[in-house]
Amino acid sequence: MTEHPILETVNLHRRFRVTQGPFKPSATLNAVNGVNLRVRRGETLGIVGESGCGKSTLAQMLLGLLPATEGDVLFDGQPVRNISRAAFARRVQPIFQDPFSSLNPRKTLLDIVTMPLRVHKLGTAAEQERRARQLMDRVGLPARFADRYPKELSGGQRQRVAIARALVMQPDVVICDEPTSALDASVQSQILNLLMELKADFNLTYVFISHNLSVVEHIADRVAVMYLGRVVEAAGVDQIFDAPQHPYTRALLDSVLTVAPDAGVPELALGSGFPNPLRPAPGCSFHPRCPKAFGPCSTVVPQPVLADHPGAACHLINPPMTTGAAA
Amino acid sequence: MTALLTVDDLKVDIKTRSGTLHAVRGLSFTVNAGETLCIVGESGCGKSITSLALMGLLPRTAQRSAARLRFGDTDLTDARHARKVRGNDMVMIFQEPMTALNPAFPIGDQLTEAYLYHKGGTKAAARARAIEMLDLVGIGSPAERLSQFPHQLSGGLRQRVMIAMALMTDPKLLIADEPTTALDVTIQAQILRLLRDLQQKLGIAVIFITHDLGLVSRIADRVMVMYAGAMVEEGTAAEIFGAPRHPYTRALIDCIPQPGKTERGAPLGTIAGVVPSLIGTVQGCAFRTRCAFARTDCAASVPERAEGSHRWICIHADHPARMTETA
Repeated sequence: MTEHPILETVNLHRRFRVTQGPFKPSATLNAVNGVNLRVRRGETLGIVGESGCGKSTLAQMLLGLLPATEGDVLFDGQPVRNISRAAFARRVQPIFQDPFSSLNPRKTLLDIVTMPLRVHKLGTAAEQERRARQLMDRVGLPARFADRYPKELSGGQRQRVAIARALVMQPDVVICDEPTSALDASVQSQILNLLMELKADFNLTYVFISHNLSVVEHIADRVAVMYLGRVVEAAGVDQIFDAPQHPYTRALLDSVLTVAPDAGVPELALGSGFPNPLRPAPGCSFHPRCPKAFGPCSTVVPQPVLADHPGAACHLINPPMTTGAAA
Repeated sequence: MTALLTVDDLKVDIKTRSGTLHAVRGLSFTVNAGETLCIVGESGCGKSITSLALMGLLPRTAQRSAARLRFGDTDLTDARHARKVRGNDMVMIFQEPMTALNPAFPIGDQLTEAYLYHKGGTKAAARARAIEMLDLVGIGSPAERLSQFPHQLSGGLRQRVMIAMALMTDPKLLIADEPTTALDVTIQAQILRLLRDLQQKLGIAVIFITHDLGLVSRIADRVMVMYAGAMVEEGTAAEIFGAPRHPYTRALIDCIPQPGKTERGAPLGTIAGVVPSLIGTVQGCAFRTRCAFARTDCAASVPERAEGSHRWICIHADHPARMTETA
C-alpha cells in the first residue's frame, strides 16, 4: 500500500463575502483559490508570501478551523470534514504568531499546558501534570514557572509555552503560523533551534508559514510560494532558493535584505501597483507587476501547480498553447 | 566637517512604581549632513526612546538630560528653540503609518499643517507644495489624492504619504523609526530605494532606527549598536559587519540565518540569558551576564576603545574570538 501524505489539500478554495460599504454590492474575496499541496510525513513544508496572499487562511483550513468553500483537506487520506473535531485536534496542533494574545492571561502556565489533555480527557490529573511538566522542561521553561501567569513572561518564553501546549497532545503535525515574527533576532534563533530539535525528537511534521524568507530557507525542506490565493511555485528548498522559476519568487528572493554591506538596496523590476485582492487581474494575477509578462499572461490563467510536481504556475515555464484557455 | 546633530551624554530616566528606569544611559554621537546613521538593537534597548528624546516628544513620565544636544547652532534643550526646529528642519516618520496619520482628516490637510505653521504663506501655496511632494515620492495623480483619507490608501502608499509629509518643510535631518517594519518585503525594497534616492537628491541626513541587521547593512553609512540603553559599538557598515569588535554585535549577527553562509537546518547562534533590568544603577558592562567572554572586572567600569571611526565599549581590546582567529 502506498503511504498517504499526512496532510493534503485538493483543489482547495475559500471565498469570503466582503461588504464594500452602504449601497454598494458586496464583493467576493478568493482568499484561497485552488491550492493543491501535499505534506509528507516528517518534512517541513514552508509557505511564503506577502500579506493578503492567503497563507493564514490556508493555515486555518489546515487546522480545520475554517471549512472549505470548495475542495478538501485530507488527513492521512481521509477528508477532514469526516473526522471528528476532537480526533483531528489530537493529530494537528497550532502555534500562532502572537504569544501575547494566544495564551489565556488568567490561567497559570501549568493550566495552559495541561488544558488540551483535560479537554480530551487523557490520563488522570497526576499523569496530565507530569506530562505537562515534562514538556515544559523539554522546551526550556524552568519548573518554577509552572504557577506563573503569561504576563510574567517574555515573548520568547510565551512562545515556548505555546510550543509545549501544542506538543502535549503528541500530535503528528504542527501548523506554525509566523511563530517567530513577533520576536527579536536573538530570541527567534532560540525558538527556531528548539523547533528543529523537537521535530527530530518527536518525529513531527511542520507546516511553517512565514513572510521571512531567510527563516523559511533555513528551516523548510520544501517551499510553496503563494500570491493572491494561489500557489505560484512549489519545489524543494534548494530549487526554490537556488534556481527559482516564477518571476514572483525571484522578486521575493531579490527583496530579502541579507547582511551584505556593499550590496545596497535591490532594484526590483516590479511595478508598484499594489494588487487589490477583491479585483485580481485577469489571466495570471501577477502579470501587472511582472517584468516578463507577455501576450497570454493577461488573458489565460496559468496551469496551477500540482501537488508532488515541483514547478511554477507561469506561462514562461508552461506555454499556454498545449493547455488551452481553461480557467 | 561640522556635525549637523551633536548628542553628548544623553540620558532618559522614566519614573516607574518600582523605581527609576534608566532607558537611555549616556549616549554620545554625531550625525553629519547628508549621511545615514542606523541605530540598531533589540526591543527595549532604548533606540526608539532615543529618537523621541531627540525630537522632544517623550512622554511626561520621562526625564531627559544631556550635556549637549545641538542641531546646527540651535540648542535643543531649550524648548522654544527646539519648537522652531522640530517638524521643520528636523522631522520624523514612524513605523505604522496607519496610526501616525489621523484617520479623520484627508491627507491634504495633514500634509499642509506643519508647512503652514512653520513656513506660513497661503493655503494654495501649501497645496501646491503638497502636490509637488506627493509627486516626488512617486504617488500618481497627486492632486486627487489630497482629498483622500488614510484608510483609502495601501500600507506602502501611506508610508509614501508620511515621507512626503516629512519633506514638506525641506528638512535637513529625517529620523525614521522602523519605517518599513510593517511593510511587505517587496514594498520595503521600494520604500528604501525611494528614501535613498530622495536623500541623494535633497542632501538630507537620516537617522534610521531598526532591529533588522540585514537592512542596516544595505543602507547605513555608519551604524550604532545599542544594548540596554547604551551604545556598545559604532562604526561604518563595513566595520560593524566585517569585523565586529563587541561580543554582543557579533553574537547578534550570528543569530540571524544568512543565506549562503549559514548551512540550511544547522543550529543558529543564540545569546543565553535575558536583558538586565534597567531599574536602579547599572554598573559596568550591561552585557556581561550573557557574554561568553565576560571577566570579573567587566562588573567595574569598562573602557571605551576607538580605532579611527570605529568605537566600542568592552574590556577586551579586540573581539576575543577574532584574536584567536588571527593569531
